[in-house]
Amino acid sequence: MSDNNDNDRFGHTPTTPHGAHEGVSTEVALGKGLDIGTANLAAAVQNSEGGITVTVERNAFLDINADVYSKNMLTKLKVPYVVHNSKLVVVGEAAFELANVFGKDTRRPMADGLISPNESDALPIMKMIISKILGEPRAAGEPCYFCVPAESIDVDNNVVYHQGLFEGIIGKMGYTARAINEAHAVVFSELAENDFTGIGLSFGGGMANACIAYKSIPCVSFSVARGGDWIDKNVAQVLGVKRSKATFIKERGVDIRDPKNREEEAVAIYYRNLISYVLQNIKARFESGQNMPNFAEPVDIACAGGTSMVGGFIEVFRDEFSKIDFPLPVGRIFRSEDALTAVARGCLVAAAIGE
Amino acid sequence: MANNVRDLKEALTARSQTATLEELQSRGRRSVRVIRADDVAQMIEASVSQAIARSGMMSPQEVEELEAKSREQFQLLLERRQAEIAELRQAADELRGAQEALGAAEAERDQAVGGLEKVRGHVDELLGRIDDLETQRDEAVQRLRKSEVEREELASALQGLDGQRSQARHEATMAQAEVAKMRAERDEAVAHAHVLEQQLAKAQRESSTTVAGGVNADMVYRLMSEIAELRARTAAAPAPQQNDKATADALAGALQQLTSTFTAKLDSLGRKMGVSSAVEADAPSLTGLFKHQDGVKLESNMDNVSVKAKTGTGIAANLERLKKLKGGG
Repeated sequence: MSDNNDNDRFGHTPTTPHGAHEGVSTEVALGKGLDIGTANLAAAVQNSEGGITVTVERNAFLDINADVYSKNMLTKLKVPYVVHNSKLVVVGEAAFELANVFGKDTRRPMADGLISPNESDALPIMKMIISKILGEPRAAGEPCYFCVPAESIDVDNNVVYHQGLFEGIIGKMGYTARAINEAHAVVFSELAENDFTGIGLSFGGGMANACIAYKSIPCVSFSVARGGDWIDKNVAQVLGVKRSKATFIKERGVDIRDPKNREEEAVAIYYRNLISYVLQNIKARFESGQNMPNFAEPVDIACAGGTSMVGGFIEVFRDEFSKIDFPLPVGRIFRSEDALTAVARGCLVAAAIGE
Repeated sequence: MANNVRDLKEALTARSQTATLEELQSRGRRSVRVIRADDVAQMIEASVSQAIARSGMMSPQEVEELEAKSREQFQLLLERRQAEIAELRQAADELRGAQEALGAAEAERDQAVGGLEKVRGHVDELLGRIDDLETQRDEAVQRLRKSEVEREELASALQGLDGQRSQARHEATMAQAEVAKMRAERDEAVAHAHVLEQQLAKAQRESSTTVAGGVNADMVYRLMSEIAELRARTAAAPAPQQNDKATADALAGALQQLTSTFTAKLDSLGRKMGVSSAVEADAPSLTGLFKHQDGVKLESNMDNVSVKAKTGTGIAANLERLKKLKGGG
């Protein structure tokens, strides 16, 4: 999203963390947080200034013909690539940009929040990206909490395989891998002031995850297999463009309250539909009464995830929320100040506390 | 003599006329013969002197005086004529300047006319473009109207989908209620079957240890009636047969099958709803999936490029809260 393009393509070494005390060196607990998202990979770690540093890379790649000229050019431009199966594979944000230039679609290692069975070649590449953003463990067996989606209520999916796969990958890197529910991580990140009680929502690329927590304990977690990719797919269909192009349209600074043209209108329509769909499902789960806690006080709803970063998201969310008779008193509805990295930050909190 | 000279000059003056160069040009004269005023004066002077000398009417001294006077007079006339010539030349210069100015003005006029033609052409071109733009605007309006129609159709389709979703949700709710009812009936049926099985077993034991006439026929009849009723309730078991052990076994089997079917169906529905009665096994270890890739080193420049990094607020407050919740703070 545009909010996150304030760094160079390949970033730079951070100096002063926002909100941290300059020059104050604090003891840094071991532990790292990793958000394995369909669209983006993000790793969070505490830095020596008391803040956190988050490294982000787009979870996508694009293979091009491997020739000496291309390889030299990519090397000179410092575009990250991997040579795999005699192909030159451009990875991360650069792949997304190249795909848009060439009018192609990027290849995606994950789909609908889980590792994609259609992209078996992607695993070694994804492993390299994770290794790059996570770095080496600072001590043998350093805890690394990574997020996994909850089981979906609208499709059959295999979260166990997904979780085991990444436990294996991260474990091989020298970490002690622990899985945490994605929306639970949002609760850890955003609902500290509420004693970690409330509803955490993560709107990711492949899924929307929900977690209702009481004093940090997850009562109910579930997901729906719709997210930013679902919007992209539908926008691409109605506009007759590639998905990468639809993603570009979505991320170039649309305000879904006030679409300016036909393309933005399509994005706004599907965004509103996604939000309504998620809210209806949360409501239905509450109304089913299964394992649902009773809250005496109104609870807050925290939204996070890259898909929530579009302009006007929280206003449309509130608008759609007002249309349903939600079976629970709700206080604030807000979006994380840094929605893209909130899940990684929540994973980091869990890792630091040993949750 | 002096009078003759004066008369001559007067005669010359009287019989001559002043003509401007423009008038001469208008008469088709492109050139005129000119004679210097001094030459005319000398010729007059000479002719007058000769005439006087031949007449013998004046003395040489008087002649000289007359000549001096005549020269003076002539000089005066000459200056006047020269002044007039100078004026004529100046007028001619002014005329020439006016002609040049007129030529320049005509050139400017021609240039202006040419510019005007260009402007007129440009205006025509602009008018053509305005026509094109108006055509494009009309087409855009048509497209906009068409897209609005499409949008309305899309919105209508979405509303239809919402309706279908609501219907599906309603059906799911009904299915949940049905599942709960079936589960209760299943539990009741299983419990009842269990009791019936025990009672049947007891009756069979009694029948095997007593004479045929000692069998409690009422009890067997009651049990079989209840079994039949149970069959009717479940509507899945076979119809009651004879009241013997084979019938009881068949009934038990049918009930077991019914129970298994119910259980499988409930588990299936329960999984879809996030509820399962199954006991979860330990998560499988998938580390073996990667052992074939451990030795593979892919060529890459990833070590030489940095990834996007950003900083954020610390998590100390979150950790502090969590510690308090856990009673450690």
